Amino acid sequence: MKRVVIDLTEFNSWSGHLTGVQRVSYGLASSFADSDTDVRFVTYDGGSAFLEVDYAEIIALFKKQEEQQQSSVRQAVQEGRLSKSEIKKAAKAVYHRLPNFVKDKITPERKDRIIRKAKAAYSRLQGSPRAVFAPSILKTKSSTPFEFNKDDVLVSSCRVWDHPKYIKTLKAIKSQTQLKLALVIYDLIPIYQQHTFGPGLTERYSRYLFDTLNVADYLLPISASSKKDLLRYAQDLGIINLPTIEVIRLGDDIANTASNKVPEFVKNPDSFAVTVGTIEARKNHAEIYYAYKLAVEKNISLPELYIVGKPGWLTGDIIYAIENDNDVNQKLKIVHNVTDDELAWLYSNALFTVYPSQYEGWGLPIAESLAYNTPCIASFTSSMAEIAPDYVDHVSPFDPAQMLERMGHFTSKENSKQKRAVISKGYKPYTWLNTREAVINILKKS
Amino acid sequence: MNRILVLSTYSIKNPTGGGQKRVAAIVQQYRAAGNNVEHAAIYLDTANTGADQNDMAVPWTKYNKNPLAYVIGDLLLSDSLDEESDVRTKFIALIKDFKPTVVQIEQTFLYKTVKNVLDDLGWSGVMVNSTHNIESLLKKDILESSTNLDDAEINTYVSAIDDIEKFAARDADFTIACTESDSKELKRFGAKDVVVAPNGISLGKVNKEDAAKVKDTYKKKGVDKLILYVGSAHPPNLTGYAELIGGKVGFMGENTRLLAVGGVSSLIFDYTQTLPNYIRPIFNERVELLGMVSEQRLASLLYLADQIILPITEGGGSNLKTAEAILSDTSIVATTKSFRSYESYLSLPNIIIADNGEDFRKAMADSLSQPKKARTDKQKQLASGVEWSNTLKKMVERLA
Repeated sequence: MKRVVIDLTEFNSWSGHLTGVQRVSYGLASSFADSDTDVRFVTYDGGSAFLEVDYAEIIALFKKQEEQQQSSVRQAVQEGRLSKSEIKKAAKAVYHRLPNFVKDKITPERKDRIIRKAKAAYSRLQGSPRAVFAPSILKTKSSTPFEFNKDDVLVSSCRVWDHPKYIKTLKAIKSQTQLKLALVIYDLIPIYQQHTFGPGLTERYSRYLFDTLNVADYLLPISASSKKDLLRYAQDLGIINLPTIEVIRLGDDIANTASNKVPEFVKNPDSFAVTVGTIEARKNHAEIYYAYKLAVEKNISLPELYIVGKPGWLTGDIIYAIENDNDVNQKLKIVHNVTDDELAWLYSNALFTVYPSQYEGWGLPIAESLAYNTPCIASFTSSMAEIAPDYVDHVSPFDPAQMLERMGHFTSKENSKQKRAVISKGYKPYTWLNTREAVINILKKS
Repeated sequence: MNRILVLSTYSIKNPTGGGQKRVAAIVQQYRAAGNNVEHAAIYLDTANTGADQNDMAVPWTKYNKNPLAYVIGDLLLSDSLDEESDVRTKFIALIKDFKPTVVQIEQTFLYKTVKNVLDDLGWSGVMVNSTHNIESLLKKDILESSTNLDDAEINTYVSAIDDIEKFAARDADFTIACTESDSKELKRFGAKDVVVAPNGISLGKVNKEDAAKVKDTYKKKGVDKLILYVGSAHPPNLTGYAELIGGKVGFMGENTRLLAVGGVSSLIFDYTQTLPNYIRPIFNERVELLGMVSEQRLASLLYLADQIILPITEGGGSNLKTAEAILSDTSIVATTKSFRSYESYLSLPNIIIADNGEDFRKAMADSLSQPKKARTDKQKQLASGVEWSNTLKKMVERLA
């Protein structure tokens, strides 16, 4: 077996909870760290080299972040000392007390700057992980560039499309050392579902993807759906010579068992639901909102549903609706800064989870829900239909009535319990060790 | 020695278009054979191509600024000598002064009006109908694709052209056709004596300094493979490109550029605006739209190109760009249609024919990665057949 070099650029500077991509990087790294494979860990320096990292550094980072998650800042916000309305009220009061000659100086441009600063301050006060937790910087072994050997394989699962020189650097190293490149491809959402992002990403991502197709030896899409999109892209661009493209399934084995401690924000530990994922347009929280509105209209009782995730882009209106619509805001609760222990408890004890995303490269929260034996209602589109079609209750991401029917079904404790038994009996989580073996087998092919 | 007057509906002072180049070559080849040759254009004075001493401008206002003049300007000129006018006076003076023994009409449109004047003058020489296309068919295509005219209106124009073509075919002492298929059609029209003289080419002289400058520019960008597509703004030039390559430029390596030269560049530019945004950045990197370039720069590009493409999927006539490609001794990727009337050159090395997009792009990639085979002396001789001196040989001999 060739020497495997795992790219940990994802952890160069990081704070707060692990994102989906970071969880994949970590899962892969830890599975290789525990193997007999000759493995090294590196990080891209942003210039023209990679630097070696000790795997122990990653573990140290996680400990540090876990400790920070217990910080008292989040508690201060949750206890209600600084509510959103109070901050707004204070800001207005300050503005009205400003002398007119000062107000006159507040140009639209300056007003924008002030609003941005105020939002950042509000976000910090709310306990946004990005702001509250100091970023952890990944320490490297030395500042000397890592020396790749002939036929090394670099496995990268990082979000590197924002590093303009990353691929160029790899090309240069490859031409000198015959390094083989294996890159994980998550999805082509910025290409084929670009309406779910703000402008600008599509072109940048396409540039990265095109270069990747030309430089990589192995591309590892994380679902058959992503592979299909990748081949469509290659066809659209007229690319003839493709690298080896093989699907790998991501591990979904759960690291921690749930504690018995009920999170403070949970009112009824016996009857609640949960949805996990960044609150962004593509994740389609709007469908949940409309399903709950429909439940009110039809007089159907649904449990409290906790929306666990950081606010992302293009969702200002739906968050406003969820928070301010008196029909549903007692049932739909957005919760921030949920700790790993709390999340594990939520997954374990929910009547059901919901994942109404419009499109995914994979859909880890679906697999995680099943790993905790909890019924999952998820969209039938893209990769989500591949994860465990026999155990997931699939619905259209554009049909709140269909979703409401399934939610109503699992609101019954008996129905939820029966489904748990089915999942528990049949669903086998895919471990990161399985993922590692699949990657190794692909790398062995040539 | 003949005294030959060649007439066309455009000046050949600065020949850039295919028709202009053909007429200029005809004049040159007749002269090279020892004939006394004069050329005169009877042209609409909006044509911004300059004019020679004999050229006769027909006032634009005569046609009340007909909005279709850009497509039927040549037809509008078909009766330009039939009434007393400055142009008729000037033309009669030219005939009386030059005393031609042969009058050769290029592209047929002027045939009837010229014949009328010559008959009035009692002139009795050899009339030659030198066709470039079957004009009625070509014009029908153009009117259908680039105007909003209904069928009846189109037929009015097409019939008028058809009348002139058939009259010329029957009346001329001999007829020149560009292709064998045109020859068959002209015989069907009643032409008695048809000589086939395909389009040819003469390559511009390469300025080594300019070529080195171009090469250096691309070398600095890391580009060492150049693919050339030369074409006018004639719509079929885009149709073929879009069908066979379009936005699918990912098969070209980062060391490769496809250079579009000539009016087709602006058509491709408009076309790129319809490409998805995830394709455009890649397209803009791999394809350069150079637009109109000087003859010197074109000669440099032909000299430096590693490959010439001829993605022609529709349209009639023979393609001068094909002759240019054959003579340049560069690798060629082409469609069957683009080699129409040049079929005998397909035995030359480094030519790949592909008629669908996938095959065409693969052929382009393969051709770039394969070493070019050298032509044998016999093959060099065959290739020289596309030079004007050879393609027009039968025509020149016919008048000898």
